[in-house]
Order: sequence, then structure tokens, then C-alpha cells
Amino acid sequence: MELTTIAQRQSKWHNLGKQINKSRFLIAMIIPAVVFYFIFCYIPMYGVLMAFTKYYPKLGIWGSLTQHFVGFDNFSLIFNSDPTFLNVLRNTVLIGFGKIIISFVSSIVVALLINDLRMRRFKKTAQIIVTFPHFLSWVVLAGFINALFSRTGVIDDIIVALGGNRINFLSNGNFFLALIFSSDVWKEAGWSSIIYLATMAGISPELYEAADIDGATRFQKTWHITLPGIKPTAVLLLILSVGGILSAGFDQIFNLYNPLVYDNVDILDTYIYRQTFQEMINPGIGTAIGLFKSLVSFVLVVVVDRVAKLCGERGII
Amino acid sequence: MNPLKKIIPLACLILSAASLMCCQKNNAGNDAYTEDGKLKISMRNLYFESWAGGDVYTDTIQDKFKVSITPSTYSYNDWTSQVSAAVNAGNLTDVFQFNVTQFNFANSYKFWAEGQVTKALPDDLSAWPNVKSLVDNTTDIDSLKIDGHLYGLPIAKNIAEPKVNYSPFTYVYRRDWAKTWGVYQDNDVYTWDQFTKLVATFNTKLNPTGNADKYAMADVEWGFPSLTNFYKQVPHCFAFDETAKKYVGNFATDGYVQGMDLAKKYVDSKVYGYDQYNATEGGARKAYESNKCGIFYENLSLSNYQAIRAALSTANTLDANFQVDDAAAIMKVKGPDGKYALEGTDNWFSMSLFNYDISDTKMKKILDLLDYLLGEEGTKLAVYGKAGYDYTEDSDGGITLSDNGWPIGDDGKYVAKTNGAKYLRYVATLGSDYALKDPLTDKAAYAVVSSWDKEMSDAAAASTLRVFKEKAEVMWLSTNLKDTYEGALLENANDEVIRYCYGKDDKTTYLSSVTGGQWPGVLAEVNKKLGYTI
Amino acid sequence: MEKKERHCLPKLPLRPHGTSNNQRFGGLDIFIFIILLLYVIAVIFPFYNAFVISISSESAYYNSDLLLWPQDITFEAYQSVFTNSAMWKGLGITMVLLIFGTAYQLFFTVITGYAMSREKWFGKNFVMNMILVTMFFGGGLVPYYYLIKDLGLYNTIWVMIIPGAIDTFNMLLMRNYFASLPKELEESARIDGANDVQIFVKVYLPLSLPMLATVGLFFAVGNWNSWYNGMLFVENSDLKPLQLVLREMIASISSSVESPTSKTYSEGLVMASIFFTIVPMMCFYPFLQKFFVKGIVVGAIKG
Repeated sequence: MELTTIAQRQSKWHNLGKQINKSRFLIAMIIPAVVFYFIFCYIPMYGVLMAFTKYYPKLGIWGSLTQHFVGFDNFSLIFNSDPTFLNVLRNTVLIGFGKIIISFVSSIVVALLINDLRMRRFKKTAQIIVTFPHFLSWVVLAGFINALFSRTGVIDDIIVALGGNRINFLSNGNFFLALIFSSDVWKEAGWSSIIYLATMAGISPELYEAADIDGATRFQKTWHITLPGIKPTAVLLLILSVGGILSAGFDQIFNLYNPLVYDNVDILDTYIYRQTFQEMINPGIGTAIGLFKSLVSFVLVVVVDRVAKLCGERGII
Repeated sequence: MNPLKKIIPLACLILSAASLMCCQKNNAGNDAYTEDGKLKISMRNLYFESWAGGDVYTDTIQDKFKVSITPSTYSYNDWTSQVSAAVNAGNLTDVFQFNVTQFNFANSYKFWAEGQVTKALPDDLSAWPNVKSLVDNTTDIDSLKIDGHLYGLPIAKNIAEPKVNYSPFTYVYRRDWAKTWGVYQDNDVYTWDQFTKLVATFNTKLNPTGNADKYAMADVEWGFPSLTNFYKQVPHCFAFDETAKKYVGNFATDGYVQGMDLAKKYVDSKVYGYDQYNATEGGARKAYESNKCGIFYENLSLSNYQAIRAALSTANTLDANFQVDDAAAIMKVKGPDGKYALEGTDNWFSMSLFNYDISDTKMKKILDLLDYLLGEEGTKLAVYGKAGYDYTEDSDGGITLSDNGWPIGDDGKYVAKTNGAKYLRYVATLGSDYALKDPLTDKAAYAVVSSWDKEMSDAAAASTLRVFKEKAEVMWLSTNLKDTYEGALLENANDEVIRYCYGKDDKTTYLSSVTGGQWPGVLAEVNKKLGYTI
Repeated sequence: MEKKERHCLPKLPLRPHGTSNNQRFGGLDIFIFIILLLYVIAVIFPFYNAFVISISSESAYYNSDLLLWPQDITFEAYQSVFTNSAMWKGLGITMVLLIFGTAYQLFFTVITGYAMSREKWFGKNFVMNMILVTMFFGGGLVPYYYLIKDLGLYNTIWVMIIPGAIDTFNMLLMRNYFASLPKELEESARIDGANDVQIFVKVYLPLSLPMLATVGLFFAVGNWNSWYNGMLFVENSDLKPLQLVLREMIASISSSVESPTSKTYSEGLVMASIFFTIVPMMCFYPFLQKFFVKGIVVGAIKG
């Protein structure tokens, strides 16, 4: 019996060695990534512990942890005594969720429109034009939006020229929210539609010809052939974006907002940013909120991924 | 897959990563020297613009004091982020600047002093007489001392005469329009009735339909509503109630509400045509500079005022009758109580702070530098340049600028050049003392501002000027309250005021938000700490 | 390896399906056309507006009631921008980031994506879990700052390049793409005696060029627009990327701060600076667009 065990053990190691040898090229390929993630993601990870201390710059994180450990105080501070946090959370969910739905719908609609357009030259030009805004940074876009919608901007000028009253777009909380959504569509719908367009192009023409023979209207063809054809892609993209629901677009809001619309558009990331950078005394609070956000995002993605797998689609985890 | 199998390797990974960061190097306080024996000093300041050393004036200083300076600039938008990141990661430059009026500053200042982030100046500054006189002349300097030590150098705004203890927030207005429409008063002095009449006239003439994009009045964005100046007793959060002998919240006091209601009235009648509710900074001023606004409330520093005049001149080049003095006159308004009203302020809003890790030698070197620059010779270097090359001085001290050093540009003005000495001087003071000597100053603008200064000082002496200032005990570090509470309170209250003025909230909502919420608790604590009973 | 298999690419990826070219244009076609036309106009309009402002003089901007076309045309703003050395320095830095950064990121992301797409090799699951965790949990800024400092990256140009090596999202895209290519390719190459690296370089890489171009473009755009790392980790004003210079220009020092150097920028100047940063992209874009649309088409059909 002993002999077998030793032999078994030896062969286990031997097998391991063989396996490693077999995959040696792939392992070599993956080493840079491992090193990269280790250095830039795992080494700083102990920083989440900052959420559990009152941070003293001189002591660094370990020093603060050992000498000024406060446990969950930072968390209770956020949840219990700060009414802003719940407001921020609400905004984040609203904006994040809204953006997912709106961008989902708008990119599919744009794809359908371009797909069904029959003037070929215009189709190409249109595609080039509407996909371009994706490449602008929000810094630039903020400049554009201010130039258009500020009180001295051209939109208000047009309204007055047509006889109306000047509307303060950027000061009205509701308009501002609408602006957040519509500027997101303006920037991304064209780009997102590419993926759908490409998928639509891959749908077999025979299906359409068969539908023609059956006398289907264009609308019926869209509903029964095109849309189901893009379903797998759509689901994948939906999953990927749900994981980011709590991010809701930091860059956009950060560049556009001002303290007076915090009520309506302050999201978790902008709130964290202010807490971390402008709360000089206790950046631990910012870390605590960040940790909370990570946990929730993680749970969300796992849930959505499971749901997708149950529906038969391929997940990402 | 067995979840444990997933977690264990990850946990090992995380632990090993974390252990690497256990051995964090501690910053040694060793000075670094360049190859030729010069002491390296790094400085970061908001005003350094794109100065990166390398000019002959910086070299003069560097050679004289055997230092090598590495300057860098903050970007205003990201100032707080950049300082905060540097502090928290132990990556400060040797000298850095921070905005004291930022609401969190006093707490941070104390926190940094106690936490060995910033280094105290030597208690005895007599080796540096110029710096010493700067410090001694700083108002409320004791409130900046912790255990008797000063942990930073307040950057003086104004060291020219007359030294004033109020901040020049005031109204610039279109005297030319006032004259045309018959509401001008001599010497720009207006009683309250005359002022309101002028405002009403401007409103009718500029914005008759209520829809034009011209309007009577605009406040600089952070200063809205300026009209409360004439009614309120203190600028910010805590007003001392003499009868009740305790501190109350300022925003609910009768005076403040009165002023605010007037602002609301003006918003409703489109006098405040500029959208103060959502404004990015600079918009009101641009409107004024482009003939769209009749009265503009602003912090009238010399540089701001010069810029406004220059912009107005450019905007009106085609108008033969245009006089910039008439387009940017400074209004002197007496409030309902018959007195001028100005916010009292300290003569500084930011400080130069020193990294704790610098050695005493370095600190002394920096003070030597600053002392020299504040002195006569150093000032000449900063203002004029090198003697013999940029200027010549005759026996009675008259200065002649040379053509090499001070070429005249296309617009007939001197071309400014990068002068490192001038930038370095900003570490200690903003340079109001040499404004008259500086070739780059617009002399006409300077004359206007300094005559306004003089008139206000005379008014102060004659008690026709009411200066509203928070009491020192609640203002600063001696109680450390300002930032623990005033920061959030003030921001929220300011938001509330604007919401009320723009009709988003009614009076009841407004009052409850500036007396409820955090206010009762905070006021209780404030009063307790200062020894007043509730 | 003797035979290379290529899959047929569809000819014109965007031929409308379900309609034969013989049908006349119906009302629905006109409707679609109009909607798209409006959408296109809505996209172009902000650019046009910004351009008009950059060309008009400042007084025209403030004094005119409706600035729909350039008034009082002046090239002052553009002159200022082109003579502003800070903008050129920023451009130089951004070009470096663009070229080196994109190549660097592309290389690492692609090989990682490929490796992750292969089935069953030693350690694959471990690495996958490792990467997934980092998608959600991060240590925050302070330890990251310490790390940058300890690595000696602070205040150098490398801080804007090196930490960007692998973008997890794009890596997963590449992984999915490689995984969707037929297994037969790998199998047949293995039969021919190739090892993993050779399979990758000789078989998969040539097939995925359009996808590489697409992902490369993603990275390029990201590098062109980056400013955040520069804002935090770069003090030296010679190392500031273009977008950071632009950001500082768009918001100048508040007047509440008594500054000896009070600078404000006219609206026209701001718009001209914006164009300075986007015109290069606008020029390259139409040409590149064809290229990567094809890439996504191929990718989507396979996936």
C-alpha cells in the first residue's frame, strides 16, 4: 500500500510538471498580465483597509490601522448621519439604470434606422458622422454644452427669436437630468449601434426572403427576424453594462455639474471624489463608500450573470 | 468548482501583495544637493504659471543663495485634489500653498501641524526682518498659532498703504449709462434711495421686455447675493446676538433675510438678469465686459480691475466716445443705515506651508530667500530685473527702463517676461506693494483703485463705514470651529439662499433649512465651546 | 503549415435586408431618412456652433442676438492657440502617449486575451479569478499613490503609460473574439506541429487584424483623451497632456482668489482650443472608420 501511495504522489507531481510543460507557452504569455495585475491592482488593494481607520498621513496606512482603528465607524457615519448619501445612492441608481435602458434602446433604434435606410451614400456618411462623438472627451463636450445651453447660448437665443422666454437649462434640475441622458445618447448611441449593425448584417438573407414570400410587412420582418437575431449580442452587452450601473458616468457628470444640481445628479463616484479629495481630514470615508460600491457592483454582476446563464446565454464569469 | 479552491489562492495573493507594502520606506529628512553643491528646493504654488526656472533672474537668486529651485503650479480647479493627494501620500513639495478660506482648512491646518505633516517656522524671526514685519502685520496672526508656533506663512494680499482690514468687494458700474439716463451722482457716491433708483432705471432701459440678454445687475458667482451686505451683521455663519448673549445662525437673522428678500425681488423683476442659479465663474464678468450689464459686484483687486478695464476697452474700440473710466467706475453705496458696508477680512487668504521633512537648514535658506525678495534689492529684481541690463538707476533713485529689457509690444504696452524672482516673491506676498512701481501696471487703474481705498479708509475713520466681520473667536483656529461645522453649513446655506431667491423654495422651507438640520446641534456646541450658555 | 483557411467575409456589410432593389421608395423610407437626417444634424450642430464662436470676434459673440453664422470674422483666437506653447507641449506629450501607449496596451491586452481564450491550461482559472476580482475591488488612491512614488513613476511621462497596460474590459472582448474563432484552426495547426506561440502568431493574429484595429482604436482614443493621471501625478508643466492643458484653460482662476495674475479666456479662445484638440481626430476618423467597422462585422459574425 505504501508503495502505491508514494507512486501516486510522485505521479501527481509528475502530472503537474507535465501539465505545466504542456502549457508553457500560454503561461509565458500570461505572465506579464499576472505581474501587471499583481503590481498595480493587488499591491494597492490593502488600501481598502483605510475604510476602517482614521487616516494620519504621517503614519501611512499601516500605522493608522494599528494606532487608529475605528472599525465600522466610518460606515455608520455615512449611512446614519449623512442624508446626502441616500440621496446620492438614489441618484446613482436612477441615472445608472436610466442610462442603461436609454442607451440600450437608442442604440438599437439607431441601428435599425441605419440598417433600413436605402440611400446608400447617405447611409455611409450618416454612419461616419453619428459615430464620431464617441471619441470626444467629456472635457470637450462640457465646453460644447455650455456654449449651447448657457443663458447666452445659441439655443436660448433661438427660443427668444421665436418669441419664447429664456429657459435656464443648466439650472433646472429636471432639464439638467434630461441633458445628462440626452448628451449620453448623443455621444454614444451611434457608436453602440455599430455592434448591432454588424450583427444585423450577419443575419441570413434567406430568412428575409422567406418572410417576403410569406408576405410579411417590414415591421413584422424587423420584429420577428432582426430583433431576435441581435438578442445574444444585446444580452451580452446588457450584462456588461449592468456591472457598471453604479458608476453611472463619472467623467460626464464631473465635468458638467455644479453644486446647485447636486441634489439631482450627484452620483456615488462624484460624491466619493469630493469626500476623498475635499474632506482633507478623513479620506477613510471615501474609501468606505468605495468599498460599499464595489461590493454591490460585484453582487449585481454575479446575479445578472447567473440570470443570463439560466436564460441560455453565455455569461462572462 | 469548490468555492474554497477559488478563494484560497486569491487570498494568498492578496496577503503576499499586502505584505510587500508593509515595508514602506520612511522619508528621511536628508537634504538633496545638486552636483555643484546647491541645495534643492521644490515649491508648488498657484501663481507660478508656466515658470520652470531657467531664466536669468531665477539664476541670480540661485547663485546668490546656492539653491536650485524646482517650481510647479497647481491647476485652480484641482487645487484641493492635488494638495490632498500629496498630503495623504506623503508626497509634498518642500513648500506648498493652500487656500485658507477653503472651509476645511483650519481643521486640516491643525491636523497637519499635530500630525507632523507641516513644519513650524522658527519662533524668532528677527534674523529675517522683512518676513518678520510681514508676519507681525498680519491680522489675527495669533489665531494661526498653535501652541505659540506658526505653521505656515500667510501670503499677504495687501502690504501697501493704507493697510486695510476689509475686503474690496464692491460694485463696478457704467457711469456713462448712468449719466445718459440721468441717475448719476457726483463722485459715484450713492445713498440707498439713489442706488435703488439707479438700479430701477437700468432695469427699465436695459431689459424692458424682461427677455433681453442685457440686465441691470450681476454678482460674481460666489458673491451672490451682494445686497445682503447692507443688512447682515456678519459675513458667514455665526452671528452674535447681543441681547441673547449667544451665537445664532446668520441666515435666519432679520437683517439677512431682509437683504435676501430684496435680492429675490430683483431676481423676479429681472434686475438680476444674469442666471446666478447656474453660473460658471467668469460669466457675469464677461457679461459686464461686453456691455451687457450695468452693475457688477466683484472682488476688486488691482489685477481684476485692470483686466475688466482692458476687456472693456477692447470691446468698445469702435466707439469713438468711449471712456474706460466711465465704463468701469467704482460705486460707493451707502446702505439703508446711511453707511458704506464692506466685509471685513484678514489680509491673506492662502498660506505657504512647509513640509515637515525639510531640515532646519533648508527652512533657513527659504526664509533667507524670501527676506531678500521682500527687501529693497530683491524687490527691484522682481519688479524691474537686472540692474544695468533691464534698468539703470540714477543717484536720486529714479529708474529708467532700458529698451533691451523692456521692449514695447504691438499694443503699446510693455511686454511681460518671465521673471522668476517675481514668481518666487508670490510665496510671501501678492505684490500689492510694488504695484505703483511695476511697469506692467495700468497707472490709470491703479489711481482709481487707490483713491477708492483712500476714501474708504477715511470713511472708516469717520465711522461712516460699517465693516462686518465674524468675531475672531469663531473665525479661526482658536476655536477650531470654523471648519468642523461652518464648511458644510455654509455651503448648504448658500445653496439654500440661491434656491430661495430663484423661487425653488418658499420662505418656510428656507427658514427651516437654515435653522433646522445640523444648525441647533452645531450652535449648541459652538456656544458651549466659547463659554456662552444656550 | 501549408494551408491557411480564410473565411469569406460578406461583401457589403450594410446592404438592407428584406428589400429588393426593385421596389420604389415608400413613405417609410422617406420617414426613416428624415429622422436620420435630423439626428445627423443634431450631431453636427454643436460642432458648428463651436466653430462659429471660435471664428467670431468676442464683441460679436456677446453683442449679437443670434449667432448662427460667423459674424465679424477674426482669426485671433486661432492665432492665440497656435502661438500658445503650452498647447504644443501638450500635443507633443499626447502624441507620445498615443503612439507608445497604444502599442504597449495593445500588445499586452491582446496576448492576455488570447491566452485566456484557450481552453484548459495550467493556472487558467486562477488567473481568471484574479482578474475578475480586480474588476470590482480596488485599493483606492492613497496606496496607489504610494506605489507610483515607490516605483519612481511620479512626475514622469511613464506614469501615464505604464499603469494602463491591460484594460480588463477590452481584454475580455479580445478573449471572447478569439474564443469564437473555430477550434479547427487550432487543432489543425497543432496537428501540423505548431506550438502555442506559433499558432497565435501565424494563425490567429492575421485573422484578427480588423479586431485588433478596433481595439487599438479604443486605446488610441483613450490615450488622446486622458488627463486624470496627469492631473494627479504630474507636477512638471512640460509633461502635461493636451486635455489637461485644455481643462485648465476652460476654467481659470476664480476671482474670489486675489490673484496677481488674473487670466480669463474668451469664449472664442476656448472653442478654438477645443478644435485644436479634436481636429486631428476628425481628419483621421473617416478613413479609420471603414477599417474597424469591418473588424466589428467580422467579429460579430463569428460571435
